[in-house]
Formats: sequence, structure tokens, C-alpha cells
Amino acid sequence: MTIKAFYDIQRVRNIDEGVHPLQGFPLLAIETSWKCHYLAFKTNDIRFGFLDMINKAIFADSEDMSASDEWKARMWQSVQSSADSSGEREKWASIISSKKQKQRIVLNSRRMPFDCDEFSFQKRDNNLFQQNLCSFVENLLQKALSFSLENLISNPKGFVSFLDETSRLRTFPLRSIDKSGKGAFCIYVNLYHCLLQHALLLATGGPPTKVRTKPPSKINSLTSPNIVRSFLPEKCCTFYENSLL
Amino acid sequence: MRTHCYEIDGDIFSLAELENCVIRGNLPAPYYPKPPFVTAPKKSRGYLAYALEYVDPRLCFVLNNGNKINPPLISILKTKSLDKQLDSITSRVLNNSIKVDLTKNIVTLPKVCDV
Repeated sequence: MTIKAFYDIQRVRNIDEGVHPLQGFPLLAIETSWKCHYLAFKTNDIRFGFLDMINKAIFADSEDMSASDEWKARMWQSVQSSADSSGEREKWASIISSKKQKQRIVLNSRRMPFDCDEFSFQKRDNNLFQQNLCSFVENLLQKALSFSLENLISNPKGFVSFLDETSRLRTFPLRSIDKSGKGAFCIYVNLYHCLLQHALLLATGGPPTKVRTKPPSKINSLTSPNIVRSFLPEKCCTFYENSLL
Repeated sequence: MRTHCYEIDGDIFSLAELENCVIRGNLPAPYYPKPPFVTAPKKSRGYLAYALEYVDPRLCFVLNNGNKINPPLISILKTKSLDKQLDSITSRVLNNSIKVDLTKNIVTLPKVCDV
């Protein structure tokens, strides 16, 4: 059972018939900053009755709290605590980390796939399809990099819309990309950086600053016949001038 | 890196899997794997459906996972100017990491050059 305070609810909205998998059951979405919760009702009348009741309870006599510092603090607290204890545990294969089995935490799960905007471009023209995916990921990365501690505090709603954008990745057609071209390279690397930034922004303790950024990982040495593919930053190999000759 | 995951195209990837199995999926395995390196199960070839086929050795200079040696800015890669961007990032990383001590006649290279 999930209990949400009225204070944390940002919006309550209907989900259109035909887009969700529970056909015949009217759906309602209750949005908090971190997650959207979906309720199915037996009939439309019951749904509207519930919607009316909840709107009156939440929004009738309350002023817009979203500008208050307390609201922002609660929002960040709920976003970050949800990132630590995200739902859908035990649904996916566990991961061995430090010789222990650990559960995965899915971070881009604010909206269900049926509640996200679809990728409308189709794969008729392969080049155009790839270009559109490239621009989507570029824009997403640009948005991810635009956040700073200051603008996150002043405008937390921008971050919530970023969470929605990353939810769209649940239906991102990664399998359909032509993986042999430069376009794919750009998409993959930009996507990786975007998600890394997303994970850092959700890290407990808030977004990283220059002072307290810690390396999230130690790097490996990946080798191929011609080049080592990665590098260990703390250690360097030393070549003496004589040995290079 | 290992437990923090993202759902993409209906599958779940941790950041470590995204880096090591997808972006570097068609590259050789490391000699000395250390956390958070992850490998796909031996019997599983499913990850190859996602693995990047375009291999460019400059990838290791571009991938930025927040370590100190990585450049402080992340570049948004664009298809049209990819080669220029890769050259520029590679030279920036090497300029920052290669040290030359003229008094001792020592050149210190990053681990990436340890072939």
C-alpha cells in the first residue's frame, strides 16, 4: 500500500480511453513529483466522483504552495528517497555487487509507457528515423546538462519535466537503430551521459557540486590489439625515455 | 553504477551494463576487470542485439563517468562534426594527463596507453 500526503500531490488527471492496457476500466493518474500512480475504476461515474472529491480535498482551499521553500524541500526529499527505494523490486534479475545480490532500482519510471508521448516518427526513411532519434537524445542531454544547483532550487518543476522525458525512454526504439553508423555512436554516448547525469542528480544528498563530486566508479583497463579501451585515473604507467627508444 | 538502472525499449540496463555490454559490447574484455565492470552471462548473447557495432578507439576518451581525469565538460556529440569533436576531446584528455619531466627524462602516460 502506498500512502501519499495531499501536500505531495501535484496533479490529478484522467487517462484517455484507448491508450492504456486496461480496456474498459477508466483510469486516473495521481502525480507526485517522483511518480505517477494509476487508479482503475469500474465506471466513468465513479472515476469522476473520485476526481471531484480529491480535487476538492487537495486544491479547493489551498493556495499554490509550489513556490514555498518547504514544498521544494519536501519535493526533493521525496524524489531522492524514492530513488533509493524505487518500486518494481524483484521484478528484474538481481545484480552481484561487492559479492552480494542486490536488486535493481529503475530510475526512469515516473510514468508508465502508455502515459508517455509516443515516438511518432516511423521507420520508413531510415536516415530520417535515425536523425530524429539523434536530435531527441541531444535535446535530452542538453536539458540534463542545463541543471545547476541554483536552477533546481528555483525551478524544480523543470526537473520533473526532465523526469517525464526520461520516462519516454521506456519506449525508445533502441533495437531499431542501425548500430554500425556514426549516428548510433552519437546516440549511445549522448544517452549514456544523459542517464549518468540523471543518476547523479537523483543521488542522495542532492546534485553534485564541484566540491563534493566523487568518482562513481573505478575504471577498468579494457584492451584490444591496438589500444587500451579505458584508463585507470589514479594510477598511471610510467615510460622512461630510454625504454621508448 | 550497477544497481541504478534505466528501462529502454522494454529492457532494463544498469549504467555499468550500458557502458560495458552495450557501448563497449563489441570490444574485447578487459585484462583486469574491476568494479563496476560487468559481463553478460556466458550463455547469453541477447545483449548483442543492443551492442554498438561502430567501433572507434577514441571512445575511451569520450566516455565520461565522473572521474577526475575526465574533462569537466561533457560534449554533446553531433553526427556531422563527430570526427572533429572526437579529435578535440582526445587531445584535451591527453594534454591533461600526459606529464613530461624533462629533468628526470620521464614521460608519464595514462593507463589508456598501457598496451
